[in-house]
Amino acid sequence: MIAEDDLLPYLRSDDRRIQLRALRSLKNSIIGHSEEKAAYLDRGVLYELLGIISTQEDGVKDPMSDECRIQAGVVLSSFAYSDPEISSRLLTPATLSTLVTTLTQYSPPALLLASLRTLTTLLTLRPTPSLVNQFPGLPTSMSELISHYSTACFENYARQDVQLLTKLCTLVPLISPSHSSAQSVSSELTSPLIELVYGSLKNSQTSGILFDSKLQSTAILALAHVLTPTAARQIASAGPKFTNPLLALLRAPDTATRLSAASLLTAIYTSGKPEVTSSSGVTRAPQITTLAMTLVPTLMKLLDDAIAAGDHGRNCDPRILHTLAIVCREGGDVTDRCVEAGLIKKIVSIVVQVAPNNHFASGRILERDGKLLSGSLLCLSALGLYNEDYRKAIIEAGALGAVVAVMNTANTPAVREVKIAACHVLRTLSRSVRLLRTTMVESGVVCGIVDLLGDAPSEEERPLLENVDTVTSEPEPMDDEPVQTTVTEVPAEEDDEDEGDQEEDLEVRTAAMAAVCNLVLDFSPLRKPILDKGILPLVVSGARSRYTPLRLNSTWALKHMVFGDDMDTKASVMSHVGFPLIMKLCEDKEIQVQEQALDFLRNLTARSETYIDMLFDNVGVDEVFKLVDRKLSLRAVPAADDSEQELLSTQPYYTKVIIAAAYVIVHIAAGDDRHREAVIGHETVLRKIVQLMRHENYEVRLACVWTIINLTWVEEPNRAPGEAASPSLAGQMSAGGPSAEQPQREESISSGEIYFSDYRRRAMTLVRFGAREQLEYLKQDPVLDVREKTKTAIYQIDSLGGDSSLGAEDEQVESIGSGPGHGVEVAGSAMEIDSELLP
Amino acid sequence: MSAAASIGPGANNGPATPKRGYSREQWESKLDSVKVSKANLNALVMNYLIIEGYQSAALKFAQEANISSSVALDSIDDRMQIRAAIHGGAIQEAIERINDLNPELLDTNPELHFSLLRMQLIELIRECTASPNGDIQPVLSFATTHLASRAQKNPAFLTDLERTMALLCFPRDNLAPQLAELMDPSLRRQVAARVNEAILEAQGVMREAKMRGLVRLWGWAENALRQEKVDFPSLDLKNIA
Repeated sequence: MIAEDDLLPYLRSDDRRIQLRALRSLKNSIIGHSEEKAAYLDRGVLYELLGIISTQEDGVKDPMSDECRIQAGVVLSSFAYSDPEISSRLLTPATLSTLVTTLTQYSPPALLLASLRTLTTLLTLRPTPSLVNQFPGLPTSMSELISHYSTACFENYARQDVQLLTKLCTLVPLISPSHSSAQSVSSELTSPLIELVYGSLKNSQTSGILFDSKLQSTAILALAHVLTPTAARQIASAGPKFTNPLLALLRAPDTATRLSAASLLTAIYTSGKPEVTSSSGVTRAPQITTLAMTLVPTLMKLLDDAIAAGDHGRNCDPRILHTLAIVCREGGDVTDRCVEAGLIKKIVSIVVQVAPNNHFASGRILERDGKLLSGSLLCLSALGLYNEDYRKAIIEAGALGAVVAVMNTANTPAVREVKIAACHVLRTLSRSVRLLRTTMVESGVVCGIVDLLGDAPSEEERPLLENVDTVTSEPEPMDDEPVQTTVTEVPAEEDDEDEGDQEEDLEVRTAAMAAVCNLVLDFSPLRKPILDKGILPLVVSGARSRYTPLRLNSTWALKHMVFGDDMDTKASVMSHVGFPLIMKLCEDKEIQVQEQALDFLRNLTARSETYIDMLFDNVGVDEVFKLVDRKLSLRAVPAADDSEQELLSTQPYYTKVIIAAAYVIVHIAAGDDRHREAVIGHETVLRKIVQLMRHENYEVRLACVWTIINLTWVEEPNRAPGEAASPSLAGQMSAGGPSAEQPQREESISSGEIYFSDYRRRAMTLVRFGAREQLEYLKQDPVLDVREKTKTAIYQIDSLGGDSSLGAEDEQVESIGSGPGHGVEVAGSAMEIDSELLP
Repeated sequence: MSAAASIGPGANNGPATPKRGYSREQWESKLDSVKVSKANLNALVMNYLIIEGYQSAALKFAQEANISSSVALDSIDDRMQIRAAIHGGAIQEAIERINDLNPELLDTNPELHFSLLRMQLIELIRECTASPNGDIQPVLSFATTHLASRAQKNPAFLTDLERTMALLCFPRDNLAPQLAELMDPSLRRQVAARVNEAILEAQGVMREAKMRGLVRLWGWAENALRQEKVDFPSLDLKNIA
């Protein structure tokens, strides 16, 4: 062997034979020898190797030159197969770039194989979220390669082709680890992968002993990773000839095959548009649910086997839990069956084994078991999502301690994923009012969440980010408020966010924000600690994010913060948020964000004339009504290529926006007389309200009726002189419903008469717009609530002369006992937490 | 040969007779009625030839039977050469051939690599203890450079290394059994077999020819039948045409 000192110059030789000999020597001295590898890296061998690999000779193909490139590639891959201290030194932009460039059909297959090995090893070591952003041509090259080698394999089953294909498929999830990046590569990769999987399924049924199961399971997993809803529907509609072989694979002898088939079936199952989403879960077409039910025994068996294998399942493949999480995320029968099989207890036993058992354990533990722990936690969060009993069971099984411990572990990249999962568990658990008030009063939770929200990429990651030539999109013009984080300062150079690079970060913040949403409700004992910890600026920052799930969850959190009567909190929120931001969110391109923003206004203005005034003063009375008008007029407009199902799924949100906007009017009308005048004065809106009394959704109708009630409610002093105030009016709360607030105003009789004529005028205006007819119609409304409130409205409006038979001005105004005059509707379903956009 | 890929205990479903049995004709006709596809038979044969290392036979067979194999048939020879090198004590050559054939193998298989390096050490010791004043320097520097750091990280390796080094202390012809076995050629055969299996496993081929397993299964089934006191013509290799 040539001595180390002499080797490097020979690598640079122009004589290919000498170069080749040097490469071979190098290879033989480093394979299996870590110290030699480190020593060579110190001496700059990486640069030389990359140089050799990159040489492209024009003209006549020189086999010697190819051989040199191949050997250099092999040597490089050997460096990758080492301890992380060594292999991580390969993770430079130059390395990635050189390797990616070799991924074409023109590279010698042996070089291609070596490059693929290196890439898959390095990317497994250090997942790189933005590889696809850095190399936008990558999906296309991979797609071509997959097609090319698939054809080759099916014609003539050569070992090297099989290896190449297997590595290509292994690479697919690694270049696009996050959900959104997977969707971005799916357009190029889905077709070749479907061809490959389908071909291999057919092939395996005919060819008996010789078929390669590793290739099949890797290809299936790759397909499951990139599957889009459209493609999934295609597969499902291709019918049994695709799904039957997959189902058969669920009984294959080896774990990898069973797991991969389960993953793909799960992806097919969950990617179709749901028929119904409700607070008890997602309902899908029956045949799809049946498909999912068949997965449960397979997955449970895989889990049981892993637990039985010893060490409480510590060596369980995390993907089993991940797949179970996806399957159970929808609630319903599938989840029930899993829980019956004891899934909750089993998972918690794994979690407890693997999680750090004190609050300040080092992240080192989590690095080893990170994927397993995050899969387990995600599964728990999925199980409890729609079912209070399961949430109780999760707590009783002892999961909370582990969750809190995770939240408080120091931040490193590996831990991040686990923390996201822990946030999901918290979010699920916080759907239980009971739990919020009892078990979750743990300050450990608060610190952990706030830390996560204020987190910038950690020190370890920064060098890589700085070197990378990023593809930046248009930076969003930021509002000029500087954003102060409580934990770390966001450095100036990261102002124009490259979403790809910080995507992991965004996912973390989104998950943390989801947990925050429920924790800040007014009956949550955690509200004060969280607010005290300075969460507001972080939430506001989230509300400005370009990343839609984060923006949505942040707006949701803001909405919850102004829910209730706590004026101090409302003031604090408004001082941080500011009306311009809210207005912007009301016009957000994402309809769900609009809904939350409108609900924010609804909560803000509830029972609070101060804030109604503030809204008018800051935004302008006319602007407010114009906004409401726009929202009341919303109709879901399908884009040209949207399928009907897309339309159906967004329709409910448009309705919710209408409801929220209507309740803003309800609250304004619940203010004082000036406010009511403002409502009456804006005819367009008033007309809309009257029209909407015939809306198909009962909540819209109800809101309109409340508006009328408030507009026609007469304050007490305007009784006929001498009449005592009716006790039924003061501060009465109807069961489960809106609360009344009223300040008792003592007015003089004469001004009472003046007010009374104002009330009359308002009532007449409503009559003029046809409100009385609408009310008449609503007496027969199918919904009880609507009928009852209609009675109130009719009584009030008639008492003010709405019914032409009543004319006298000194008519007493009585309110029917069914509830107070002020239709102050408590805002927002507090329990309806989630963003369906959460990854 | 009519190979039966599976053997069912051919129990009569009729009333229990004191002695069940099959004449040769009955037996043969039962065997013939089991359908084994040509494809499966070919695969069995290929499998045997590949694993046992008969490259030219495998190639010819593949051609004639028109089957393709997922295993690179021309790597059979490479594997055989590696085996031969180890048998002959040319460990360095063997290592280099392994690195050519499968560059990941030694990187991902530290125990195997250690065994090979230890073999190398033994060969060096063999050389230096061949003459009374042999230079032990190469032995020491090899042990230090390549084996010491691995042994530090792994107690099993350490034990092996210490035992091997102990060879330097004792005369060749009077070694304790533990040490003697290190010098014995059978150790080479063991290591060679392990290397062969590792290469095959990496190629996605099972370690043992399926045929061998089937023959064992046949034997087990014959035993089971005998225990049930069934009379049948047992498999005699002489009868295989």
